[in-house]
Amino acid sequence: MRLLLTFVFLLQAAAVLASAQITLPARWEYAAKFVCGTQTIPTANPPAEPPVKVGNYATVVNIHNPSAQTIVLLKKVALSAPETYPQTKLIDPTKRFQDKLTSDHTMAVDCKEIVNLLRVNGTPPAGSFIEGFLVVDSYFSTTGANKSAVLDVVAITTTSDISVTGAPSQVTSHRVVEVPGRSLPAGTWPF
Amino acid sequence: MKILPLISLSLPLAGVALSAGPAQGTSQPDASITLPARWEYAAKFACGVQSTPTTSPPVEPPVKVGNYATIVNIHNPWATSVILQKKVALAAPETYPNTRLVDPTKRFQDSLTSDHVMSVDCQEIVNLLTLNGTPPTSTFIEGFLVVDSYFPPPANSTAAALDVVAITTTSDAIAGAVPQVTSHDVVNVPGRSLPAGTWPF
Repeated sequence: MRLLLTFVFLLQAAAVLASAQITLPARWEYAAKFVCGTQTIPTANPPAEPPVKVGNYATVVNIHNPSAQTIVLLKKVALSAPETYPQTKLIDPTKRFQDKLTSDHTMAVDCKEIVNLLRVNGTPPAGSFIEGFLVVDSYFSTTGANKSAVLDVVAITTTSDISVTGAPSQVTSHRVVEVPGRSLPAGTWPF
Repeated sequence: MKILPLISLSLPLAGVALSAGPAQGTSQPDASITLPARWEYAAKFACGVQSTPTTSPPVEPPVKVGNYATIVNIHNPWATSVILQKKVALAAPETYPNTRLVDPTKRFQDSLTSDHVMSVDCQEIVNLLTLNGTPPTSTFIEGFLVVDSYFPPPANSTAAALDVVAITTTSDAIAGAVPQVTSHDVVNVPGRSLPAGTWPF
């Protein structure tokens, strides 16, 4: 019986893995770091620290298509798993959401949209703070040997205090970061 | 996630053998480790409460009085899992000519699945230091989290590039209060291609 249950479990695991697989063309990939929401855990035992200081965080990722043609975008959200060596439990990324970006147009993906993608994926955020990468793949929909399409990707992160009076807190710091691209070959990815 | 054994991993296609001894001081040669070709990322971190004020400027403490936190995110963009080796290298305060270097920790081996993300924060850096037998002795530490990355065998090329980004945030350090974030920085950590070879640590 135990052997049968193990076999069924392995079959189910294989089915899940197979369903997440995706075959992709050659492309440019951009991994934009994001931090979203309210982090309320204070420092209790320094130098151990929470992931970021107590506060309110927002990120918006801008994506510009500099090509003369419309490009295909694949967006997914990869939440980061807090490492607790040797017992880290990784978090599966969302599926890849396909979109199009017209020539010389710009798209913005902010925390609201990241939460939306997580919800559409069936994995809504469980807490008030999330962080990880927005991963964007980019390629031309036309046929041809070289389909990968370069983008301009820039992320802006801002912070503010967590409001205790009810009045909106104002920005306390901001960073603008250019997101480097990586050329990836065509192939089948497990996620 | 599968944790690969730290003791020994042969890489027949790459023609190298990976082996790691326990973390040792500079006078103990068995801390050496043979590694395959790989990408290495040195992510700067600052963790904890720095409470030493300025008393005799222009002499200054390493950073201003405050509370610091760093989190390093690691993303595997490839279609296969990669092997990670992580170590913590605390920075030795230079006091020329009597500088005393701080040995890095041993390398902690881990595996990162395709397109998954791992985060290493100050709590985990303290955890690695503690597992190494060298827990922090003060409320403030700074240095590098060094991450080596390569594909497990079989593979034609063993080095595996990653996306590595560090975020550092600061707040006031006020006993009994919960101060909020006062500044932050997001830094893309550049990678360095390193050849296969034997490293003393």
